This record gives sequence, C-alpha cells and structure tokens, in this order.
Amino acid sequence: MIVVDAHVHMGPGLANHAAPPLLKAETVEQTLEIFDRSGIDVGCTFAPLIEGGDFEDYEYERSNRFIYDAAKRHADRFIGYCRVNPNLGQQALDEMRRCKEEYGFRGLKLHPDWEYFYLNGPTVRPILDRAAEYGWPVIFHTGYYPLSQPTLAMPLAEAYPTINFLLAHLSYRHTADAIVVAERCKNVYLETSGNATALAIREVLKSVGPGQLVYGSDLPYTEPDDVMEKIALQPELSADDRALILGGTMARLLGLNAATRSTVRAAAQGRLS
Amino acid sequence: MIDAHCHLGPGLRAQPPFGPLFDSETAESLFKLIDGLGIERSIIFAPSWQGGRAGEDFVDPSYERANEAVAAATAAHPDRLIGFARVNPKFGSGAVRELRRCFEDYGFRGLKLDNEADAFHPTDLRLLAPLAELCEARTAPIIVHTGFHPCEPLIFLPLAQKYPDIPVILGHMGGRILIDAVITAQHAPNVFLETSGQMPGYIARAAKAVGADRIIFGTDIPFNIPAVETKRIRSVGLSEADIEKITVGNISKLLGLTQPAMAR
Amino acid sequence: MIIDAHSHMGPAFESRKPYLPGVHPDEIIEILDAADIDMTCLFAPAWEGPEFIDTEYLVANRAIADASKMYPDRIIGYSRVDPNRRQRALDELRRGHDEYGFRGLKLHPLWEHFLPNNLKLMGPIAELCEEYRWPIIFHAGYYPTCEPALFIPLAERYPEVNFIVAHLGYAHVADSIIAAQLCRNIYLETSGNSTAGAINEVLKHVDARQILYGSDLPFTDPNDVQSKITLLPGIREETRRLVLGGNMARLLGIDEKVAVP
Repeated sequence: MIVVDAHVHMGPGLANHAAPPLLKAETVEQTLEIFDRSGIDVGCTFAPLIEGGDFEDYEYERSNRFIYDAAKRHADRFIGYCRVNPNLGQQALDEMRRCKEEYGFRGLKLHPDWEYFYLNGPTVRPILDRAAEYGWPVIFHTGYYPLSQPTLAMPLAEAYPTINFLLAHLSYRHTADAIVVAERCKNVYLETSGNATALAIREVLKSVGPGQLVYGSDLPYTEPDDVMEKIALQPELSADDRALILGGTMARLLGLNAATRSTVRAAAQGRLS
Repeated sequence: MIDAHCHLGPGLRAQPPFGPLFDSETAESLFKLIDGLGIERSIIFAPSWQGGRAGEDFVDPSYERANEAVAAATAAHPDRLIGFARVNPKFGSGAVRELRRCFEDYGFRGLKLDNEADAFHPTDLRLLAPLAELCEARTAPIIVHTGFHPCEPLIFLPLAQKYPDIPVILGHMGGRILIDAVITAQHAPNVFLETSGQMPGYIARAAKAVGADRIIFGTDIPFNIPAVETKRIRSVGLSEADIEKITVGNISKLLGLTQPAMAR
Repeated sequence: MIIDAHSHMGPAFESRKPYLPGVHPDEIIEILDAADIDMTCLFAPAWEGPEFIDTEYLVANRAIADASKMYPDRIIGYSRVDPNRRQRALDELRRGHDEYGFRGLKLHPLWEHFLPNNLKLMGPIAELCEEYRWPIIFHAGYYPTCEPALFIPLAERYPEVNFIVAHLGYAHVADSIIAAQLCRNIYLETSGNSTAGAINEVLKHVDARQILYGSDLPFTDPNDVQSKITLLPGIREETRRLVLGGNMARLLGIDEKVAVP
C-alpha cells in the first residue's frame, strides 16, 4: 500500500502569508518531516498562493522552480505539479512547458478564485489543451461561488475526457454539487484536503463510491493526520477501499507503477530506520 | 448627477463571462452611453483585469496600462471625468509606485480596490498600509467592491477604523448582504454606501438605517444598464433633498468639488 | 403579454412588511398595473413568526385561492407546501388542485429545509405535479440546500415536469446555466436582484425558451427587474416576448391570444 497525498504545498511563498499556516513546509526538510510523521509516501506538491507584497512571484515562476530545485534529491517523495495563472496567456503556457521539459513535473494545479477566472472560463481552455497533451491530471481548487463551483467542472470533464480532474476540498460546503458532477463524469475525482468533514466523506462514499475519492491534506494549512483519520475511521470501509483512497487511485492516475512503489516504500523505510 | 462608480479603458475589450454589457472603452463611447441621463460627471477607473480574450493577450495585472488609459481620458475631459487609481496591492512597492504616479502625474483623486479580482486580504493592513498612507495624506477616498465572500463589507471595517480620515466607499453596498454594509457603516463614520446594482428596497432600507448623507450614487457602467440605475434612485421614495445629496452633494463634499451650475 | 413568474401575497406580510404592500389582492393588482403586468404567478411568502405562524401554509394558500377567485384573469394561484410534512403536504397539494384551482407549486428548499435531490422526499410531489401538469418553482441559489446543481438529478428523473430555478440561482448563475443546458425542463427565472449582466450571460448560453421573467414582488419593484430585460442591449423582439410572458404562458397552457383583455 502506498500513501499519496494529492494536495501538498511547499515553498517560500508560505512564509509570506499574512496568517502563518498551521505547520511549516517552506523547505524540503520541513515537508519531509510532516510526510514521515504522518506516513505519507509521496506528495503531489505545488506552489502555495502568492499573497504578494514582499515576496514577488505573481507568475509562480519562482515557486515552481523552488519545488524543482528542492525536490530534485527526493524525487521519490515529491511529485511536482505546475501552478500557473491562466489569465497570463502565453506566459502560463510557457511556464507549463518549462515545468514539463525542464522540471519533469507531472500535474497541474489551478486556483480559479485566487487567480480570478471562472473554472470553465475562456482562459482555461488553452491551458487544458496543453495539460491533455502532457497527460497531466489537473487539480482545481473548488468550493467558492461564483468562480470555483464544482458544477463548472462538468463541461470541462465532458470536453476533455482524457484529463483526470481533481476537485479539491470536496468543494468545501458544496460537496453535494461535487457529487452531482462526479456521478456523471467518471474522469472527475473528489479530493479531501482542507476541512472535509467525516460526514461529507461519507456522502461521497455512499453516492460515488471509493473509486472517485482521493486523499489530499492541504498541508501545511491542515494537519494531515486529521484528514486521514476521517477517512480511516469511516464505518464499513474495507481495507482495500481505504488503500485506494489513500493512494491507490492517485498512483494509478500518475502512472506510478509497482516498481516505483516498492522503491518509494524502501526509501521511506530507509529514512525511518 | 455624479456617477461614483464607472469603468473605462481597454481592459473592457476582454470578454470574460459576465463581461461588459456596453462599450465604455473611451471617453467618447462613455459619453454616448450616458447621453440624456443627466450624469454630468463620472468617476472612472480601470475594470478588473481578467486575462486576454482568445487571440488577444492583454496582460495588465498591475493596471499600469489601464491607469494610463484612464489618465488620457481625464486629461482630455477634466470637466466631466474624474480618475481614480486602480492597483493590485500584491505587487508591493510596485503598487505604491503606481498609486503615487496616479496621484502625482495623473491627478487622480481616489483609489479603487477589488480583493475578489485581485486576490488579497483586506484585513491584511500590513499589505495595505503604504497605499492607505498615500490616500490618507490626501484624504483620497478608497472605493471597494463588496458582496458575498470574499468581499463582505465587514472585512473593510478594520481599514476604515485605522484610517478615519479616508472615506471608504462600499461599492454595491454589499449586494445581497446589505445588512453587513449597514452594520459596517454604523461602526465607522467614514464609511459610505454606493448604490450601483442594488435592489430598490435595499436602497430605501439603507437610507433609513444610515441616513442619506452616507449614500453615494453609482452605476457600475458598463456592467449595469445606465438608464435602470439612474431611474432607480429616483423611484425609491426618497425626498428631492436626499436624492440631491446622494447623487451630487455627498461625493462633491468628499472630493472638494465646486459644483457646476446645477442645471437640470 | 407580460406574465410575472414569481410574486407573493398574504397575511404574513401584515407583521413582516416587504418593500411594497402585499396583504390584499387589490394591493397586488395595483403593483401589476404600475408595471404593465397582465398576469402573475402568485404564492405565499415564507411565514416567519412570531405574530403569524402557518407552518404548513394552510392559511396562506387559502388567501392565494381567494385572490385568484377575485381576479381570475390577473392572478394565477400556486400552492406552497413544506415537503417534510410528507402526506400532509400531498393532501394540501390535492386540495390546491381540486378545490383552489391552483396551477403550480412553489417550494423553498432553504426555508423549508430540504434537499431538492432527495428523490425519496421529492418523488411523490413531483409525481403529483406531473399528473397536474404543474410547474414547480424553487427558490434557488443559496448553500446548503438550493444550489442549482442539486436540481439536476430531480429534473433528470422527472423529464415531464417543468422545474423553475428562481433568481437565476443568485450568485450561482454560472451553475444555473449548466443545469439549464443539461436539462431542457429546467427554466431560469429572473426575480430578485438578477443583474443585467447575469440576464445577459444566461441569454448567451441558454435557449431563450427556458428563461422566464419574474419579479419577486412585493419584495422589490417589478419595473426594476423588467427594465433590465427590456433595455438589455441587443435583445431581440422575439426573445423579449418569450421571456416576458410567452414562455410562462406556454408552461401554463395559456392561450395568449385569448387571455389578453
């Protein structure tokens, strides 16, 4: 069994937040400490949102590069995701290419609220065209009207059947909407990070089943153990289904094969012993 | 009438969802749009930057190009157009530089902020301090977009209370959550409620709750229908004297405008 | 002809005064006349207490029935019930159909606190409305119980019932658009404070035959909402006609040529 955290932030942008996050994940060492403590084998890792002021990285180039540089020596623990602002047009496309060709990143994070675009808005399409070309899963922050309502993912999921979409945070308060989408689109996965309640997780399990539920923590804003417990302690959840949710599905979406998995496990064990 | 909430500039060319209804890219197009409605002066500022239309990359997240366009319009029509700056506080010293340019070079009279579009926390007074200090020195008003989260009116209260000399104008007076806007206005005498897009009943309620002295008329051109906005303020049961304050007097006092002949 | 898809009247307004008066049918007619509205779909407002308590809308529905008898050519009476009452709600629906001559149903998932996609709860009601050929208008647009996406499963399960999503789904207009594109039996209605921009956006992406003018009177001035439609830049005459009344007439089986006095 491999534990893959689908929603990890790391980097200097975290130091710049007006309200400091719960844990520290500015450096690789700090982030690995959280991973090891919580039993996370691999983290899908991307830039935190940029609050600006002293730390200037509006285009996310510094933050993306940081993840590449820092995580190079721990490629078995970090799967780098690209983060861009689709409104920046060509710059965003160029940054995606750099992330793929130079950094070897394997996925894309988009935040409709912070970067101010409708989840299914016109600036997103060229970005998704490229993500489809790269075979990247795309994780959207979701859960706030009017820009990141999960409903808006439905036309995208239909238009891009080869892209695996992850709707983060179980869409917060709008889990019910997210379920409507996931029921109709098999390439949509609901991801638990943030403040997913045990009740919301259960609703997803009841309606869509474990195959479209994916564990993510939102660290360092949230304590990963907290989220993992809400999954692990779900009544009537088989060990197999739990393994799917905690990492099996994500490993499949990222093409982490058995060989990679055993390498990861060995490395993780080596680290712990 | 003075319209305290009007957008102008090339940023309007982008066609995001819920984009502009009309053309107010230039002074000429704006004047055509408001012809016959009795709007003598408009406070104009940049629309939110939302990326480029497909095939046209208009990249201006720092609003420098947008402010430049507003400045050109106000320079050509100083009798009818008053410019407010628009900056994205996330750009730190760059935003301060741009605001200074707007005040000193362009002669702008206030600042527009939108924390939903430009993604910052209005309660982060550390981020806003250098901008607020520039406004305070000139008693320049700050007009903010308000509505549901993340721009609920109450989150602007710390700013208003820290800088009591800055008039803080709550754009759209909170929309559906008028009640928040009223509570905010009741807690800080420098808070004003702007009318664009608001329901008739809520405007009436606001006037009763905080008084006509604290209400300011705006249209949100080109995102609303101007004739609907101008008609509404006269159809909510307010006295002539109160309508005069709301549509002319209050904003004139804030900006120290000597009113032109009140020709009707 | 202009038909307002969303209006309220009733004794609840005695103790909780809306923007315009709306206790007596004469007051409603006065508002209609001032806005050139030929007919309106009228139903009970939410009861709020403590002076007026009417948890199953029995008193309120009777008032609507009286109003529609007083002005049969102007007022189209709708029932309003609390689905959580189960059989009693169904009984009240039957009474509305058999005794009051009602033509539609208003439901408020937030105020009556139920989920539209709770098909076990909504099923019997939808089936009755299918039998009666009643459209169901839902207050829509607020978490947790009336986001537009939640109407999709219901509309899919009952394709013969017409579901009206009020207020264009308020802040969730983008969701409403997707719901209406997915389900031809979902209609979007403009009442409340729909902005001209939202109306414009909806007309861009949704068939004009699925858009209805509604005002939310007497909570607001129907002229304000109406003018956002009539003055919408570039709106075609045919679209205007459909939205302002043609679609609602079709949903209610009203022959416009006969109805207009």
